[in-house]
Amino acid sequence: MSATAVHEAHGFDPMLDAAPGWGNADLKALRKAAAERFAEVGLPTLKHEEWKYTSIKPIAGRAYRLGGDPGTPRALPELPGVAARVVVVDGVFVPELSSLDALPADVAVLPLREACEHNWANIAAHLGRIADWEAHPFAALNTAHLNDGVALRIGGGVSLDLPVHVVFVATKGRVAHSRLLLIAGEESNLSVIAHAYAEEDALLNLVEEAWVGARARTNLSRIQDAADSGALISLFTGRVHAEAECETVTLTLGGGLVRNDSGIVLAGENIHATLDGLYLGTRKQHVDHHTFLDHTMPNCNSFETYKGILDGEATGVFNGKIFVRQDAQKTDSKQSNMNLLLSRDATVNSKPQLEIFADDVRCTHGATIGQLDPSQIFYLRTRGIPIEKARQILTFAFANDIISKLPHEPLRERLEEQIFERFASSGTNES
Amino acid sequence: MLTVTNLHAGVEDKQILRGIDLQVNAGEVHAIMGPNGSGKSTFAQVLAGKEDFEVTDGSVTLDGEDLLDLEPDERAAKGVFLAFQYPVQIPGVSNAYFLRSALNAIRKARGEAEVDPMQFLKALREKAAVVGMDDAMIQRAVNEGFSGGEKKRNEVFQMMVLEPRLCIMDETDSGLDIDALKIVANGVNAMRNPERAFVIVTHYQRLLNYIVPDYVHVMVGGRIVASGGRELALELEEKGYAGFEQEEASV
Repeated sequence: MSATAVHEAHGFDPMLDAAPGWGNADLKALRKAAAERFAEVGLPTLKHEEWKYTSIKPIAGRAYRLGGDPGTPRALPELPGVAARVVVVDGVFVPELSSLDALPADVAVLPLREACEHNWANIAAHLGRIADWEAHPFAALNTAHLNDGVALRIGGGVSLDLPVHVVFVATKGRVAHSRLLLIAGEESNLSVIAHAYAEEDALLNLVEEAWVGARARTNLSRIQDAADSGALISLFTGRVHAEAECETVTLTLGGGLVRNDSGIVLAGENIHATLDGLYLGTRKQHVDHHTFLDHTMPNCNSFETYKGILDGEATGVFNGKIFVRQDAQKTDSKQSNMNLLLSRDATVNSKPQLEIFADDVRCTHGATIGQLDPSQIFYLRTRGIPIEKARQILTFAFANDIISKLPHEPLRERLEEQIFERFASSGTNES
Repeated sequence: MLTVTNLHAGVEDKQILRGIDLQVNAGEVHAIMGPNGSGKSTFAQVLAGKEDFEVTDGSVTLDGEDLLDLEPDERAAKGVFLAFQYPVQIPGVSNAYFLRSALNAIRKARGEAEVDPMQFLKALREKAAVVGMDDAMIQRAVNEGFSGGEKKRNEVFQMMVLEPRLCIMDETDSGLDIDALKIVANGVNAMRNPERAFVIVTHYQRLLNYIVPDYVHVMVGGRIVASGGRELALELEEKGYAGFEQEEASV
């Protein structure tokens, strides 16, 4: 199928024509290659192994608006205690909504367009080279539209105590191809909170790439949400180097259609990586998480816990891959996926996938799907706690295991409250 | 306070309780003893409102009110407490939070105001000290990683915090060494008063050396086959349940 035919068939605006002519030859070549790749593979269908449980039909037929001036977001999350706030609306960095003044000189937040024009040497090696857009049709589409977004670069040896808060929004009726590039220099210390939200009838197609230098410590907290008529598709890939620590937590609060691919490539020795997540779904929402941990070098450990809580008629998908390459001896990797179904009509598909090519490794994985334990509910009730409250307490306790991993206290407290309140009315079609 | 009349209960195809009659007045301590499988634990759980058991006949009233008609949490609000034989682990929920939620739920049901968090924590510490629990145990998830003895102490601790009127204790002595047994008994004895009653289910009379009952009942085959004073427990200790079981078999 040609690029134009794909767009005509699925309502996406023609990207090659829409993509602006700005940028240098390298960037133009990148966009062109990605566009060609997308034209080749097209939008995924259920026949595609990686998209077996996630139909994109709900978004493929929509006529989204692409380009033009960014819309006005209905609401933007604000957090106290952050070093900077970066707001990207409909794929475009919005300086008026952002505040970067408090950043030290050796931490740069650059609109991608500006970075491409003035700091190309610093980002050329990483932009579009960490996230594998060849393997992800939506990332290819994003890269073909690589137009704006944010590059965040912290110098070697620099520690930023407070997190940088990045907000991505696709406003009503829009398709936004947004991008975040994190470059953490050697021995740097950086934490980032990335909010992503798709409003009604919007599609946010987000690609987040992180390059983590040797002995650096990075922490990425991602909070994702979409309206019931909205869609959020994202790919996060971290490429981590020797002796570095990379910790990530992804909280997906829901959305009509959410697909989140998250992965870390462990590209050096003695790396510590965590990939944790919590996904919530209710009504007819569909929430799909695909993760990968790619161990390429010896003596690294990775720990992954993803938990899902599905209510109403929601569907959840978890697919967790761990690759241990031949050179990655002494790998220690643990993966677990636990799912709680709060209603009879909620479903989840969980699939761990281990591919191990080294012989001296320790890898474990486990997956569970279950309901609240009636003996726990009874125990709480015998102490005077009414059944709805007992369910709320137990459901929140299941979630809090992940929420508690968020390092930024104001964010954590806000989400604790929000998620606890949400479970006050969960599981209503049972008991 | 508690009046049990001709209580029959069981699971789907199996009758477990076959006509229990029991009168417990305020201020009294009743021990219910019996061999394994006699229905003691079922009786305790039916009183607390476990839905797995179906009551097929008879009645249970608390101060004249039909207890069987109430949900487990409503029974708790009326002052009924069951100390579990096998306390349940609640990962992710701290003892302190759990007990504050429970106490506030009970107070709400009674039309009382919520407790002051600081005062509550202070009271919690004082009561925990009685059963040898420290701050760390108060903040730990309910029963998670607790030893058998710690779980039983935690049950008595919860009872002390919630201050029920009717305390039903199901095999609280099982799995306790002698020191833990004394600690648990101290907690219970400290709670004895003219307004409060206890129903203590136990297989062995050992616990009754420390918590001295007013009445002892022998349960066999889902019925109370003998009742008496403290001396009945000592007789059981000496002769075992064999005599009662034969009696039951010949009925």
